[in-house]
Amino acid sequence: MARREFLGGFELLVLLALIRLGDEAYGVPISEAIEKSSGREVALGSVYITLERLERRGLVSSELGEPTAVRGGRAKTYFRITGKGLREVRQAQRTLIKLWRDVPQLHGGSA
Amino acid sequence: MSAARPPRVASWLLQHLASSPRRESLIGDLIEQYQNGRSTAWYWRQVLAAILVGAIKDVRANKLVAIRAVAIGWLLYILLSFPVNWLSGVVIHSRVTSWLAAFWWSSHLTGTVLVYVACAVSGWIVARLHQAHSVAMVLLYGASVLFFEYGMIGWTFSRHPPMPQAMLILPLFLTMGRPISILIGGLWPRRSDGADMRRVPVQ
Repeated sequence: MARREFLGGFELLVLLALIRLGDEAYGVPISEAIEKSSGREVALGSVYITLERLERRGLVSSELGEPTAVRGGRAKTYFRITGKGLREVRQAQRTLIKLWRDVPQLHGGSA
Repeated sequence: MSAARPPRVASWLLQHLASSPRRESLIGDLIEQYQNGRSTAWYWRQVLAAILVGAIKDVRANKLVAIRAVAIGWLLYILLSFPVNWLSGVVIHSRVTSWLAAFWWSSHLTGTVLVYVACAVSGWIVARLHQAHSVAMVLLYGASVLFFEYGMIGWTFSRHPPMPQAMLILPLFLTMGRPISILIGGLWPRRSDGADMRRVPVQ
C-alpha cells in the first residue's frame, strides 16, 4: 500500500489561502492572508518552498504571469489548488473536526 | 511614480544564494511588498530566511551529499593547515619580511590571513565539487567550522576559569573570519542561473 502523507500545519494554511484567493493567488496575497489569520510574520521563502512541495505532490498547479516593472521586472507565479488538493483539504478538515470533538480542554475558549 | 529601491546587498545575496526554482518570482514579491511600505529590516529578514530555508531544504533532500561535503571540507581544512603553518613560518623568517618580526602581532596577523585564505580555498573546492547544491553545502560546511571552533574556544576558556571574559572577544572575532572566508570562497564566483527568469526593463 502506498504511504499517504498527511498535510502539515503550514501546508494546510497555504492551501486554505489558495482556496480563498482563487485566481489571484501569488506569493504576496498568500503570505498576507496567512499573516492576517495567524497574526504572525510569514517568510515568503517558506511559502514558496511549501508551494513547490505541494506542486510535486500534485496538490497545486502553477502558471507564470507577465513580468511587470513595478516588481523590478519580475513575473508573478500564480498558484491554484488542484482537485486532488481540494480532496486532501476536505480530508484534513474531517480529521481535525473528529479530533476536536469531545476534547473538554478546547471547549469554552479560555485555555 | 518613484519607487523605493530595496537594499542592494540583500537583493544581491538573494539573487545569488536562494536555491528556489521560483527565485525570480520570490524577489518580485519581496520588491512589491517593500514598495508597499515594508521596512528594510523586514526585507533583510525575508532574504536571510529565504536563503536559509532553501539551504535546509537542499541539505534534507541530499543528506549523503551533505555528509560528503562536510567530510571533504574538513579534510581540506585539516590538510591545508600544514602548508599554512609552514608558509606562516617562512613569511615571518624570510629576509624580505623579517622587519615584520619587530611587531608582536605580526606572526598572529600573518597566520590569521593565511588561515582565511586556506578557508576560502576549501570553501571554493567544496562548492566546485557540489555545484548542484553549492550554497547549501558551503553554508553547512561553514556552519560546522563555526560551531566546532566556537566550541573549542568555549571548552578552552572553561578549563581556565580565572581568565577575564574580555579575553574572549578577540578569539571569537577572529574565529568568525573562518566561516566567512569559507562562504566568500565558496559563494563568490557563483552566478545566478535564473530558473524562472522573465523580466522587463525597469523604468
